[in-house]
Amino acid sequence: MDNPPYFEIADLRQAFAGQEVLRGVSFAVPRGGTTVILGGSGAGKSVLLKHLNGLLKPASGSVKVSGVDLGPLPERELRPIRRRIGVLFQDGALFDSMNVGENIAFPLHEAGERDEAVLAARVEEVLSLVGLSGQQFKMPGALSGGMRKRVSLARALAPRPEALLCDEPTAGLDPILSESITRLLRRLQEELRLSTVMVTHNLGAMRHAADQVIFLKHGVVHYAGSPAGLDESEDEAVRGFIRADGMGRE
Amino acid sequence: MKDALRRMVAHLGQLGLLAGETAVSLGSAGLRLRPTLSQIVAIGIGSQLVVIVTGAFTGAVFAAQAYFKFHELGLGSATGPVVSIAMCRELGPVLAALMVAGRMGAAMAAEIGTMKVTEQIDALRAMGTDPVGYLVVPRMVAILVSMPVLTGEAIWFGMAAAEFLTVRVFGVPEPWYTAQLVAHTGVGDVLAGLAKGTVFGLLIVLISCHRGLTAAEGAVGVGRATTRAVVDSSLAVLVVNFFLSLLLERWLPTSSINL
Repeated sequence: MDNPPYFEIADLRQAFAGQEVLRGVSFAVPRGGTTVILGGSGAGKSVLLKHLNGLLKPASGSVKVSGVDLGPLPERELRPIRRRIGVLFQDGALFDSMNVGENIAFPLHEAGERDEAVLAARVEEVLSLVGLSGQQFKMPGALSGGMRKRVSLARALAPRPEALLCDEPTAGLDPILSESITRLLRRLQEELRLSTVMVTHNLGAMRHAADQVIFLKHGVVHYAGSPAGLDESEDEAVRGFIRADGMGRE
Repeated sequence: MKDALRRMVAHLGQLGLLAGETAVSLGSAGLRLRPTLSQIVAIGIGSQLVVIVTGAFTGAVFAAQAYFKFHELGLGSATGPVVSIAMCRELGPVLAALMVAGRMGAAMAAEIGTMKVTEQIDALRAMGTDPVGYLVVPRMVAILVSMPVLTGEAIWFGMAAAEFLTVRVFGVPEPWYTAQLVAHTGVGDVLAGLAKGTVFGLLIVLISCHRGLTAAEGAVGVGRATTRAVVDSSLAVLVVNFFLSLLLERWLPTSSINL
């Protein structure tokens, strides 16, 4: 194959306390494109995302990153793979004890970069990429929800990852901030050509960002295909979700 | 009952695994200097006042009670050896550990628990960082450095307060008091206390970090983890102290008291 997918998920199953959360999920994420995992609360989206960089081990099935099956790898061997995959966490997951600059420099420092000038230059570079130039000395507690997400995104981009995982990037934001984050993600995706997986329940964000959509409900894939094709889907779960979203807007 | 026993065995197993991971992480990845120094400041320097006050007042009150009884028998100068043995072997290490458990055990569980529920631990892992190496190892090394010093201070201030009270307030002649104290307190007694304090410190870090790392979702989960860290650490100190006392009596026997 000329251009093999970056992530390959095959018959992935996961259960917590006897309750099945993922029931045989299979799909592939092409390199350089954005795949949006869409679904309501409790669909298993965030759990699925945590399998893509090995934060969770599959109960059965497989998750491959660039052809490498993560399942059998011990934690120590997963670390270099994780360093190639940036993560934008739902609430930012910024380290409270560090300022913005230190947060962003952290993954670079962990990768062995010790030159303060190089670290400072890269911090400023990624901060300007997310529109927060000059904010490196602020503490996370002093940031708004939207700024926290941008800083988290800057931290994810700092080590120049090959892929980006975004967990509900627009959750908790007002519609204007939500649109601005979605546009930012789309612009960065086009500039950096990252293999991106975005989890969201926001149809608007999906339409703006997605090259491919996976619709998940109760741990089962109900739709996998283009964003345009989602509206044509005959699946009752998909139609119900689109209908409910339309009612929410009225 | 069976379930409780199973849960306890599982919990002890998890503590054993965390201890193993901590040792492996320290051996393979080495020590992070900055967080370790910051923990030494928090544990070692931050606990000075509480440990010194606890040691001094415990030594003083123990000396007062011992003196009241011994004085009736005309053995006022025996107060020194009795207080010193008790402070060195039991009260110094146990009280210093209980103070550190209350102060630092709670702080460790709350900080790590908050990091857990706000996905900061996941963020560490996602960036290829070992959370045990980053969070547990520095605390473990810091307590290994701090606890012998804190225990020594609790012992010293307890004995100093006892001597002040017995000699200056109750009027026992200083040469008698000192002669008895020196004659009946051995290096083994002090070493036993320092060894106990160090073991208690390791238990406090292990239990508190484990409670933080396994905190359930939300503020309630962090609150519960913090309470359990203090209660479990304190109980562990008291229970392990009993067995350590028996064990150390074989290796570092108590100095004999011949009045």
